[in-house]
Amino acid sequence: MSSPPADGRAGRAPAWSPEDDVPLVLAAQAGESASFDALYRRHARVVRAVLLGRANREDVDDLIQEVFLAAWRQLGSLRDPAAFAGWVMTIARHQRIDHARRRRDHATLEDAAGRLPVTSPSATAGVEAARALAAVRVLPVAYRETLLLRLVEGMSGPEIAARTGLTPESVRVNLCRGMKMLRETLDVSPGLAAVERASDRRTANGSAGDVVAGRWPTPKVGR
Amino acid sequence: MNDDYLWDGSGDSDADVARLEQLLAPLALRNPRALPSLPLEDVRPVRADWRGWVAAAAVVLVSTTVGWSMQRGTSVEGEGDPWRVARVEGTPTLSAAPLARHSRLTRGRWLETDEQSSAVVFVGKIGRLEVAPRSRLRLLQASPQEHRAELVRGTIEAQIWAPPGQFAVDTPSATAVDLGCAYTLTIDDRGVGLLTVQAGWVGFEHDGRESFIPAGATGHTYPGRGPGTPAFDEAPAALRDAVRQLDVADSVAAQAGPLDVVLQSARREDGLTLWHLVDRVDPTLAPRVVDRLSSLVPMPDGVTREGVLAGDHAMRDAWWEALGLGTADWWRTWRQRWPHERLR
Repeated sequence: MSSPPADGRAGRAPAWSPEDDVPLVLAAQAGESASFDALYRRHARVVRAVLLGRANREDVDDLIQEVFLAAWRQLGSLRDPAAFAGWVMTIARHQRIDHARRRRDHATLEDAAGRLPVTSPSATAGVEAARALAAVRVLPVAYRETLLLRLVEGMSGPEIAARTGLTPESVRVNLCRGMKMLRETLDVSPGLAAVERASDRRTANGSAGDVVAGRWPTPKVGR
Repeated sequence: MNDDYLWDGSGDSDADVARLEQLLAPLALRNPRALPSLPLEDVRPVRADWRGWVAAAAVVLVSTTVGWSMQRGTSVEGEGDPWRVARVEGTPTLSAAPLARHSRLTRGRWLETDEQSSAVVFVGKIGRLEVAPRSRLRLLQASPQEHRAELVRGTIEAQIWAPPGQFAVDTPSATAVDLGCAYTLTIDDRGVGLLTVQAGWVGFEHDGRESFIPAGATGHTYPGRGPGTPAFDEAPAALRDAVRQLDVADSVAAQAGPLDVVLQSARREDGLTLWHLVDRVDPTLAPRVVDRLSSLVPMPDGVTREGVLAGDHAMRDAWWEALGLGTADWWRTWRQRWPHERLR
């Protein structure tokens, strides 16, 4: 594991603040669809990371549209224009839950591997990526979303904090603890089947296990 | 391990992180400008036009009717800031009946999940709980000022965006009070609890005994004892094991051994643990804790060894501030908003 980062993207400084959305939100609330389209393209990456925590890639593209159409429909109810980013993330989380309920999470890891983008350099990389994504998906939601923003979208910690409204300290904790759990999962589960078994174990352990012994149960809760 | 690379890509490359970046980067949205346009013209936004006023008037009418009914003592299922529950997997039950796709969660009704089921609960306008398999939860209070639930078994993952103190969860051994955060709470079949905080803070309280757990830390709670001593997950394993022994040790002899381990292995960050231990260990052992904490985090001006050992609250708070974990104001604010008698 000595490959360089994909493109060194994480080094970017946050170039956006919630106040940047205010004129666009106000214009969109007045009916300017072009302004809402700009908001859509500005926040699609964060919404995508939220959705990727559960949905497969094909569905994610459709779900992004559903999220922003729902936001457009409900935009009149948004009182604080500067809160648009957090508000649209909440809509995305609800869509993710609805999606999981519709799909009942039937997609297997092999499905996920088959749906990885054709730009993957090899089938092996595709399988490895599916395994990594599966391991991220069984993390607690706070770690999962933060890690997906960092590892998939290439955002830096400060940028994630600005985009999500979390404090930089919380983002750092989420990244470090999430990455620690991810390393453990990937280290002990070298194959796809093993990852699935790890997920099953977490489900079992998540049901009120022996917490005094320090085996922290991370339940598989559908999202 | 240096986490700078994970944080912002600076410093020496972390091989694991870099490999994961390489594997997962193809899933990224490369070019938002290339996204397909939204069919906005097909979707009518909700506007505050005359229809909105009609709807608002209808809401006022219904609210007035409901309020009038409540004043007359009519049984009303509604709550001030209602909770809703939705099925995620399997078939959770609500008051022992299978949960439909979604429902309102009203006061006193038990939500239960079995091994195959899970649910999500929307906590009024202030947050959400993901309820894991094999959990049992009920709503105790739902008003704009106070949201309260009881978890007797299982696991919830909570994300709360209300001001500190507005959301609390009673467990068999302590009350978890949200101080603005995301956390996971598990209660096992014996009533022992484990709380891990992912963001913000959580206060654990029982019968006047309190623990304050920041992001990255874990705290236990025990029936008949209340909250244990919090420790950071990144703390040495020996320290964490010793803290768990201390939590259930009643005699000086039983506390001395694990306390030695805690004092020897504590880092500056573990001031969190030592600060809590000052009044958790036997009074004859407390000076050792104070001295060790003082060597890691010097007492600020106005704080004395004698005062801390005498239980001076102002000095304890001042020393807490010196730990660099955040202000004690939140704690005090919460205590004012949630006096002891209301927590019981």
